[in-house]
Amino acid sequence: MTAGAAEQLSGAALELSDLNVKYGAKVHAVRNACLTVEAGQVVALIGETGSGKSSLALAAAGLLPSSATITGRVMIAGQDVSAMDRPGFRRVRASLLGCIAQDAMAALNPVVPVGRQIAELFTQHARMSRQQAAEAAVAALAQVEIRQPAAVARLYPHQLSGGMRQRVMIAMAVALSPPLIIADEPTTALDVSTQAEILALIGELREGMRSGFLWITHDMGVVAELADWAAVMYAGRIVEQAPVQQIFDAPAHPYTQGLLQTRRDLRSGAAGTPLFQILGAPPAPGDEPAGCPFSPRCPRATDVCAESDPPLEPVAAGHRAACHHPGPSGAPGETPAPAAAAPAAEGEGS
Amino acid sequence: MIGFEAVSKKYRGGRLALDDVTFAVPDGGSLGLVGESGSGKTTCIRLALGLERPTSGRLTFSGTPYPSGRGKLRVLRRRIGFVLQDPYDSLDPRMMIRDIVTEPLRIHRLPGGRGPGGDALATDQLSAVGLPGADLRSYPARYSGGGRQRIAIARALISSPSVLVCDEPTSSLDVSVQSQIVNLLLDAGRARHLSMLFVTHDLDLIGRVVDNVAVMYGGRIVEIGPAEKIRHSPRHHYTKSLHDAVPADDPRNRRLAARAATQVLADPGTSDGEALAGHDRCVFASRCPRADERCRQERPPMIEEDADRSYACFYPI
Repeated sequence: MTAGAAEQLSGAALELSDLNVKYGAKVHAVRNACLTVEAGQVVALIGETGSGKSSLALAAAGLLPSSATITGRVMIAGQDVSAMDRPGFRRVRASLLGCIAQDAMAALNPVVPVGRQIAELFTQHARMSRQQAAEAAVAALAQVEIRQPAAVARLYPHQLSGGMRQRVMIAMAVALSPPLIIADEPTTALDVSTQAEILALIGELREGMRSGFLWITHDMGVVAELADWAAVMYAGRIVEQAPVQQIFDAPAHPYTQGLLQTRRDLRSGAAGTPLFQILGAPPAPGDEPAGCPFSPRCPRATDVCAESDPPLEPVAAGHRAACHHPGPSGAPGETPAPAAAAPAAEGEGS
Repeated sequence: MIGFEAVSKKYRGGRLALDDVTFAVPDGGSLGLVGESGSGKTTCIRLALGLERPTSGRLTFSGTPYPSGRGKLRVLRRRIGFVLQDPYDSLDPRMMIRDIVTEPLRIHRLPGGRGPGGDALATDQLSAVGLPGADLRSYPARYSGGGRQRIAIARALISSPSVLVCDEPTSSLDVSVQSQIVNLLLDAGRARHLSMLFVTHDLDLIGRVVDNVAVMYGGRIVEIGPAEKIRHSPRHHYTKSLHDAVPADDPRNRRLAARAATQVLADPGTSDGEALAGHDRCVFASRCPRADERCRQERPPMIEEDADRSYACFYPI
């Protein structure tokens, strides 16, 4: 980034106010999302397919197609990027945010050596000479703990393992020390030991950085390892958000409780016993039920849940949930339901 | 039910995808294969389904060697149902649900494959997998990942197989749907007395669903035994490292982001599949914290700890 820009940057890494994303008339992918990522903080955005987590992230990054309708405000490091036009945002994007994609093979250019792809960032956005940029690229590869970085810089993406490609992606995302880094399930496609290495690397990198991370995942284990704060999305809404320990100790929304219970049961349940399961399936985008979107799957649902969509409200200090019956009361953790009880209509209509 | 006896598979280019692999899926029992990409799991699946033949060693089905003729192999395949990883890939988008589910009946020329009767069989199968009343004339596009995987399971079960081969059946599904599919497979296995060969990279999951686990690395089995023992008292350092790499279940117990995991499990760095199988050494030696010269010069034999469990390591935990 330029020296001038650096001076202007201040405030939270990311601040979303009342963000809405719509595709066409029917699909309301993100509803009234408010979310803050403080500098230096990792915020986990938890959700399943169709929950709106990727739409939210892409909207924040200004990368949604122009067919999407976006309302609300997006501030990155104090800059209102939602007020910028597309070319304007494009000019400053690299200095404001870095992205780590899930599929590094698709995100990297297959016909350019990885060192040159990183160096391009420096020549285009940091006003370095080609020579300086090439050296900085090797240093960036060393920073993500790639051994023999100078040799690796000359390789093409397909010559690297999945874990190494992901390291290259991370090197590119952090190269310009942007205030915000958006990571979209970067470890989901990796083997478990490679995932462990990447999580360890992020743990080390963030020590020396002021960047805030918006880390999209569906894996509560990754959340436990990495996040300071967690937000859970369901059917386009943020249904719960709190400091991460609070989410694990006292989840208030039945969906969050179900996600945690699923994982705990998987690890600690006896062999051969049925797995704990949340019944049903998430609604297809554009096909949400009336009232609370989780109510058809919720063990605590009552009449009010089918009628009105609960707003996100405080349930404890720094902890908000969108539920008519928030709190620890029973439901998840009861005996696992038999698979045969899964609703018939699962999958229909998507 | 399915037996691998000293099976090796060499692909063109000379890479050993499987190196002297021996295991058995007992009648009515289940075996899990766990390992990372490039470990040889998928090659095992392809051999078990009869899609490929081993370079050496042999496969048996109910104690009889796999036949070599196409016709006989097809007869065998009727008894093996399979559920693959990605239900978006494994279901033909242009086929109606009815035709997808009854396809095995046509392939094996069983009643209901053509003409009347197929609809009723398809409806029965779909009800059994939690899709009662599904529109037989609908297409896969109408279903979510979980719904598609149920359709794939209905297809796998319709020819009344005696073995079910599952290749990461839940890894592409959402968390809240994964357990439903696993429970469905477990129920079907029990109700029909199926033998199961279950491939996954999820150590927690495999500990829950199978009796025995074979841990694979670099084309070899490095440890095999009852799921409980593999989970709670691993002997091979690779098995332990897989356990150690599983993320914490609570932020208080953070371990990956805190320790130098990179020291223990150094990424080999190059594209997958560069495993060192075939050399006279331990395949895991280059990444093992305990390895010494012996591990790099001599191949550790399978040591039988007891009737249940074996491992290939000179310095077991």
